[in-house]
Amino acid sequence: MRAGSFSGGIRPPETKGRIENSPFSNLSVPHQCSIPIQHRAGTAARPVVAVGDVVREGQLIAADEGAGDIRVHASIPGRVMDIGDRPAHSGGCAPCIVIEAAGSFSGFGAAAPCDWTTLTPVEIVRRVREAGVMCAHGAGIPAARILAPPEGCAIDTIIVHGAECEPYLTAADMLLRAYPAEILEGARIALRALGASRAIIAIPKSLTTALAAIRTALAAHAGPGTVTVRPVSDKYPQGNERLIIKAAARKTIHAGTDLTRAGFAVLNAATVIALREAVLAEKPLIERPITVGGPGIRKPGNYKVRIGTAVEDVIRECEGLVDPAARVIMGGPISGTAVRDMRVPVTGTTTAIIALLGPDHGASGERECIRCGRCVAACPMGLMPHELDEAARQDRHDAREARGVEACIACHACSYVCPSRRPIGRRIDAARTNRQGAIDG
Amino acid sequence: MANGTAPAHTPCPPHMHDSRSLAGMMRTVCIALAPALAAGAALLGAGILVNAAAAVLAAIASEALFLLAARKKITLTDGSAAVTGLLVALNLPAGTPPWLAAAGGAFAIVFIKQLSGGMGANPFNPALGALAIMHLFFPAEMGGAWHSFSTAPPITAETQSLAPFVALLTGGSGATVAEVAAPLALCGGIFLLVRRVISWHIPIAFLAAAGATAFFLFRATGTGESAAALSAGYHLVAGGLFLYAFFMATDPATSPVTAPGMVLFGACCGALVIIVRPFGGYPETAPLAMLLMNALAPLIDRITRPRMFGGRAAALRQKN
Repeated sequence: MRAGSFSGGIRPPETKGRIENSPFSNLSVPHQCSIPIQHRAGTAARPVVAVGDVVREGQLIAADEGAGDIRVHASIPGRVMDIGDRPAHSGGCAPCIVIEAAGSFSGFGAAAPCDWTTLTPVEIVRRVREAGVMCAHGAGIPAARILAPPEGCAIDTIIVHGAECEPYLTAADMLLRAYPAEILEGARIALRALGASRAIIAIPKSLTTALAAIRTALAAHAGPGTVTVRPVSDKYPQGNERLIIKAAARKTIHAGTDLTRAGFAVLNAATVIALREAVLAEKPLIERPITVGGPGIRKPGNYKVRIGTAVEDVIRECEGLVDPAARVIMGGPISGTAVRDMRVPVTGTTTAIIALLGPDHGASGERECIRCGRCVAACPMGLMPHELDEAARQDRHDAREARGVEACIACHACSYVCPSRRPIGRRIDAARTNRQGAIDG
Repeated sequence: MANGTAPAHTPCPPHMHDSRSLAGMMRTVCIALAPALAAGAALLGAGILVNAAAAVLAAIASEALFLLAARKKITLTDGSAAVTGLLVALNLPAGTPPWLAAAGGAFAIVFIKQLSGGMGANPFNPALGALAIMHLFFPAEMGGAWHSFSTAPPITAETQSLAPFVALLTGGSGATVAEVAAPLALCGGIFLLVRRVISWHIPIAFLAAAGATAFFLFRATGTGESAAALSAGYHLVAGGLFLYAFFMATDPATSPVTAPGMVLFGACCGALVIIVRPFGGYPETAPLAMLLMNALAPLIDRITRPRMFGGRAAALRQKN
């Protein structure tokens, strides 16, 4: 079958290198965790513990019953040391509950897993909500909200995507290879919860081992629901929901139309595994499978890291940085965020911690735009980034530019390909923020 | 690290870039042109090298002086001025005085590039503009030795042979480096394609359209099919067309930015360059034909804008 794709996009060099075959190992539990209680998509949850309390591993420590619908659990057993603002990866501060490790680890999944086929969709959604499972990509929407769409929206297709397509990132690939049966079961659970007709597991075509693993699992484990595998292209930014839908289901969702209204739900491999554990063993979301990699890490690999572990603790466990001047990035090297403060914790949406060596070409100064058109070819949204960049630079907002700025998904493919090293994506991003500021204010 | 501080260097995304840079691209262009220049010198004499040096140095010096006078950042390291000078020199007939080569290089940079917008904003290709002006102002120096079309033996069904090709490629009837070193210019162009400095859209569309136009022009005048094909081939090799297709038409600043636009632009350039040959009043009309297309590039961009992903709803929303 031809790989599904979308127009535009870039093919960054394959740099999986040393950790391509690194299976997951558990990172040592840190002596302290700063667990964020505010998700990017929502308001802060209300702490249900007080400073000085002793908490069990996996105990509910903060909840928001309202619109945010967040549940936060203690990722390590111990004592609550502080509740307050801690550095966040966005650069500012965010409310966290700080726990210092003490006591023993209970271990989850010891009890006999239940038979999920007997559970009602409502019960499945309840368990996912109680476990605080959030979408492991993007804004970190609670998975329960995806599994319980608003009244009148019927989800037809679930896309489970294992497409990272950024250099150095191997966690999704490794999840697909190590837990194909679990991902398959998770997809079936999601199908049951949503009453959807089909689930498509989208995997980049270059991940042949992962594709084979999922296909084998599909052949070995018959079950309810239609689950298929779809190889997709190896292009970045395929992690974007609309683009993965285009690639996997050949459906273009028009700008301004909600994915849910179009009948689609997108879950990534890590989310599907977490929701399965939540439903079968009522295990809360307390750890994340992430890649710690890049040329600047001494011992790169794929690790399961407790949520709230500081970046500096993760890097120390991986034997530190090759060079203290390495640039540490949370997320992929193209779309990730530079880590300004090493105390920033791993959250439920962290996909990777990457350390890059050498100077950033982008910092060496931009040149004039030579209108080469590489950004136009790279833009997955069919925009003309060089024009938007120029408009943003001149602070010009005519209707077409405004529409382009709104449609931009901030994938930074334009900046990546620009031979003049212009920070096109960053300026378009800033223009959008300004516009929203102007509208909100 | 131990005290929890990250390195001060904290840039925004993306944190890695494609390895191709502006300077690197220009370097590759120079490398791609070098064999053609060497072959030209071997076939046409060392004067070619003198002219090339004169044009390149004049281009670089005038760019530096202009930027200095305009109090702009000196950006010579991107190598674009050197490429402009080189392209001017490669299209000069053998025997052009070095002062004219130098004047061409300087004129291209000062008037056609910097004064009309500067790097990336110039509407016309600097090398092409300078060549056109030189042909107009100095017809004796520029056109004197340039006769390939007027002296080319008419290819008819009776005289089908490869003789004109041989004459072209050995400098018999050709006069510019671009022409005598046509095979090497083609190799240089392919090198640029392989190194992805240029995309295939413009040169392939250019050569396909030029070949097809020449073929049908000859067919229309009653030439037999095989003779028409041979003549079309002759026109592709003659007049430094490979240099135009791979090195001049692909100038990013003066060509469209969209892929369909590039194909349209390349095809129009190729067809126009051939069409003006029998009907043009000057011995070398290709620069003028391409300058016309340079002027149309913004229009081509307008009519070939990419469709926004899921754009229908956005357009509707805009209307409401």
